[in-house]
Amino acid sequence: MLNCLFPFTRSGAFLLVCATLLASVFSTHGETTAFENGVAAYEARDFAGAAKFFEADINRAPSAEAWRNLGNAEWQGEHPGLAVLAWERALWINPSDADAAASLRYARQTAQLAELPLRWWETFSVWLPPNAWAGLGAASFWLTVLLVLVLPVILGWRKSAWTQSLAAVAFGVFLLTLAGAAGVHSRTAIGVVLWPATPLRQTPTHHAQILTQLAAGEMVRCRNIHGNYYLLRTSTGDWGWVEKKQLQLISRPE
Amino acid sequence: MTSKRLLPMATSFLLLAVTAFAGPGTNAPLDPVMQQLLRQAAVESDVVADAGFDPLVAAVGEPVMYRVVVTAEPDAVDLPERFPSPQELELQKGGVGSSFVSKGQASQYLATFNYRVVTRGTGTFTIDAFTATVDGQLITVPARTLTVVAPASPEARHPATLQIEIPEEVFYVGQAIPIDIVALDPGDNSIFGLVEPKAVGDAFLFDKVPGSQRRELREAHGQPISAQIEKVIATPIHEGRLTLKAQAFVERRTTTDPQTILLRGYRPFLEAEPVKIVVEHLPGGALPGFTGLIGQFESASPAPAAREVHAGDPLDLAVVVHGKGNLARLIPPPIVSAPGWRVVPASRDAAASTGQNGSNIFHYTLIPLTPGMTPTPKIPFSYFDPQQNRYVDLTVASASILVLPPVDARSLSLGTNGVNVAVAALSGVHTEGLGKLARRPAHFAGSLVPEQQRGAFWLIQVFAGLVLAASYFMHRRRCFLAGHPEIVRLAKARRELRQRDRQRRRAASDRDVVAFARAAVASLRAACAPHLQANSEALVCDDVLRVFPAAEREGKTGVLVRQLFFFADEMAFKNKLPNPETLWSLQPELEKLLADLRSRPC
Repeated sequence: MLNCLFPFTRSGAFLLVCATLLASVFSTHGETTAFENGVAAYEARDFAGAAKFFEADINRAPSAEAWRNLGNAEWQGEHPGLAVLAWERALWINPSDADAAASLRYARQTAQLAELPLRWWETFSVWLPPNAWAGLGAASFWLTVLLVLVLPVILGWRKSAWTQSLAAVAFGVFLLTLAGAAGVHSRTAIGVVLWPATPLRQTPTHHAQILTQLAAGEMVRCRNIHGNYYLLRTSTGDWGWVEKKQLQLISRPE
Repeated sequence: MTSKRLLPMATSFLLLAVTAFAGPGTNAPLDPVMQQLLRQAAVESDVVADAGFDPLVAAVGEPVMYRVVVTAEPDAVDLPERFPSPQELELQKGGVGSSFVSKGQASQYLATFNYRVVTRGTGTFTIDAFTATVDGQLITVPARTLTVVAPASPEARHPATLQIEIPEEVFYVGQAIPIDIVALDPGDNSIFGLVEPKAVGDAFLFDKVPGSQRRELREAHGQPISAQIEKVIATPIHEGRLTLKAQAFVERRTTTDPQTILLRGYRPFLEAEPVKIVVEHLPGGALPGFTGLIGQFESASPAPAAREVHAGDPLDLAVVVHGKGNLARLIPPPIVSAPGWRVVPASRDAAASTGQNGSNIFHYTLIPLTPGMTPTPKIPFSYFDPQQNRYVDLTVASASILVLPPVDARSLSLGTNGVNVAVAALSGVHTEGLGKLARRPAHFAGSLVPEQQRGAFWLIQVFAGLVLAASYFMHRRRCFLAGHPEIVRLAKARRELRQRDRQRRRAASDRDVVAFARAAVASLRAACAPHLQANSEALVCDDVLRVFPAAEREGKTGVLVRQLFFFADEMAFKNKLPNPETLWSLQPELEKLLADLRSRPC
C-alpha cells in the first residue's frame, strides 16, 4: 500500500530532489535576461543601455559579475567614478575577480588615481569575501564551543586527542577571523568619489572654502557624517567635507 | 593534548598571522631620493653624539629635560630603551626633532631626542656614558650629571619651556583661531629666537603669520621673564574636543659649560603641553551669501574700475572686506542674479591678508550687455560673528554704471575656467586594459552590507548562545536531580496530588461516589508518598497511617483514613458502593487533612 503511494526508493527520492534543484537552477538561469540583455547591449556599444540592464540585474540579484560588467559599461560611458565604484563592489563580493581587479588597475593608471593604502588587517580581510569572515568566525567559534563544552561536558563524551586538536585549530581560526572581521568593518568606511572635480570643503556647508578637488574614482575614508556631508580623509591624508551625493560607500548602496 | 594547551596554540596561530601581514611596508615610505640624500649627508659627516640636562641644577620635583643629540637623521639612530641612570631619576620619552645645520659647504642632520626627567631625591646624579647605533655604527653618548637640590633653593634653575596660548572660548568649525607659541626663557635671558615654530593637531589647518615673531615679558615662576612669541592661525575643520600641540627650536646663547650640549649649530628642541579646545559646528540659519567667513567685519563696498564702460567691454568690480577673522581663506560670494550683465566668477587678490586682521579684495569681471545706466548687481554676502553668535548681513550694494554703445559689434565669447583634470585624462575612452566582460553571473550576494553589520547575524548568535546556555543549565539540573532523588519524588508526588485534587473535586461536583472515593484514597497516597520516600501506588492504609503521629493515628485522622480505604477496598473487592451520605460527610475533613499534609515538611 505504501509502495503504491510512494513508489520511490531512497535513491529514487534522492534523484528526484537533485532534479528539482537542477530545475530551480535552470529556472534561475532563465531569469537572467537582464544580465544577458546588458551583455548584448554592451557588445552593440549601447553602454548607457547596458548599464541600465546591469543595474536592473543587480537590483534583482546582486552579483560580482553584474557589478563588474556595470563598471565596464560606466567606464565606456565616461563615468569613471561610477565605474570604479562598480568594480570595487565586484571585488567586495568576490575578491578573487581578476578581471575587476585588472580593470581597476587600468582605470587608476589611466585617470592618475592614487590607491588608498590599506592597513594590514584590511589587506588580510581582502583574502575572503566579507560574509565569509563572519560565517567562518561564527562556525569556528561554535565548533570550539561544541568541542570544548557541549561534547565533553553536556553530552559526556570522553576527551580525546583529536577533539582537543580540532578545538585548538578551530579556536585559532576564530582568532584569525577576528582580524579579518575587523578589516571588513573598517573597509566599510571606504567610499568612492563619483563626480569629477568634487570639491573637498573646509566645513560642511555649500559655500565653504574648497581645500582641493577630488577626481572621480578617488578612494577616501569616511570618518563622520554631518547633515548632507561626509567628513573624510583622502589617500593623500587631506581632511575635508564632501557632499553625500558626490560620494558612495562601497558597502552601502544608496 | 590537554585543554590547557588550547589557548597557547591558538595564540600562536594569531601571532603567525600578525607577523605574516605586519611587514615593514605598513608605514608610508619616504621619497627615495630624499632618503638617499639624507643618508648621504649622514654618511659624509662624522657622526657624533652629545647629551645634556636642562637645567643643570634643578629643584626636586621641578621639570627637567634630558636631550640626546646625534648628527644623523632620526630614523637612522637607534638609542637604547633604558639609559644607565640612577633610580632617583625617571626618564620618560618625549618627542624627536630634526634640523639641518650647515657645515661648510655641506649640510648636516641634527636629531634631538627629548626625555622628561622626574627627580625623586636631592643629590648629584649621573647618566653614565652609553652607546647608540647609527646605521650600524656604534657611537658613544657622553655621561652627564644633574644636580638636584631642595625646593626653593636659590641655585635651582628652570628649563626653557614652550607653551601654547589660546583664547578661552568656544570656537567654530572654519574659524581662524590665533595661537601664540611662546618660548619662555629660563630666567637668564639666554633665549633670543624661535626657529620653525609649528602647531600640530589633527583636523586643523595651520597658517603661519609672517613677521609675527616678537619678544614680550611674561610672568613665570613668580617673576617677569622674557618670552619669544610667534603667532600661528589654526582653522579647525571638525567639531568636538580637539587637541593642539606645538613644538619649536629655540636660538639660545651658547655656553662653555662642558656639561651642556656643545655641538655646532645645536638648538634646543622644545615641546609644549597639549591644549584642548572645544569646537562646534556653526548654527543653522545662515544668511544668503555666507561662504564661511567668520569673525568681525566692516561693510564691504564695491569699487568699480570705471563709471563708464562700453557694452561688451569687461568692467572690473573690486570688493574690499576689512575686519578680523579668517580673511586668508575668504571665498568670494557668487553673484546669483545680474540682469544686464554677464559675470565671470570672482578671484581673490593675490596680496590678501594672511593674518587675522586686515583686508581682502576680490574682483568680479562684469560685462554689460546693453547700453544705458545700469546698476551693478547686488551681491549677497554675510559672515558669522562668533562673539554675537549670529550671522551678520554684509550685502555688497550696487553701483550705477553708464553703459555706452558697443565699440565693436563682435560678441565676446568667454571660456569657462576650471578644467577637470580627470575628465581631460579620460577624453577619448581607453578600453584596451579593461577586464573581460562576464557572460554569466556566478558569485551572488544578498547585500553589500557585511553579515557582521546586520542585526539578524547577531540575533542568530545570541539565540545559539541562549540554546547553549539552556542546554548547559538543563544538564546541571539533571546532574543535580540524579544526586537528589527525593526532590524528583516530591515533585512527582505534588504533580500527582494536583491531578488527584482535580479528579476529586470533579467527582464531588458530579456527586460521583465511586470516583470520589478512588480519588480521595489516591490523594492520600500521593500526599503521603514524599514523607515515606516511596512511590504512591505502593502505599496501603497502614503505610499512610505511619505518616501521622500516634495520637492522630488513633484519633479522628486515623478513623477518616481507615474509612476511606475501607470504602475503596469494598468497591474494589466486593463491588459494593459506599454510603453517599457518609462519604460526602467526610469531604471537609479530608480536604483539611490533605492541606495539613501539604504543609508538613518531608
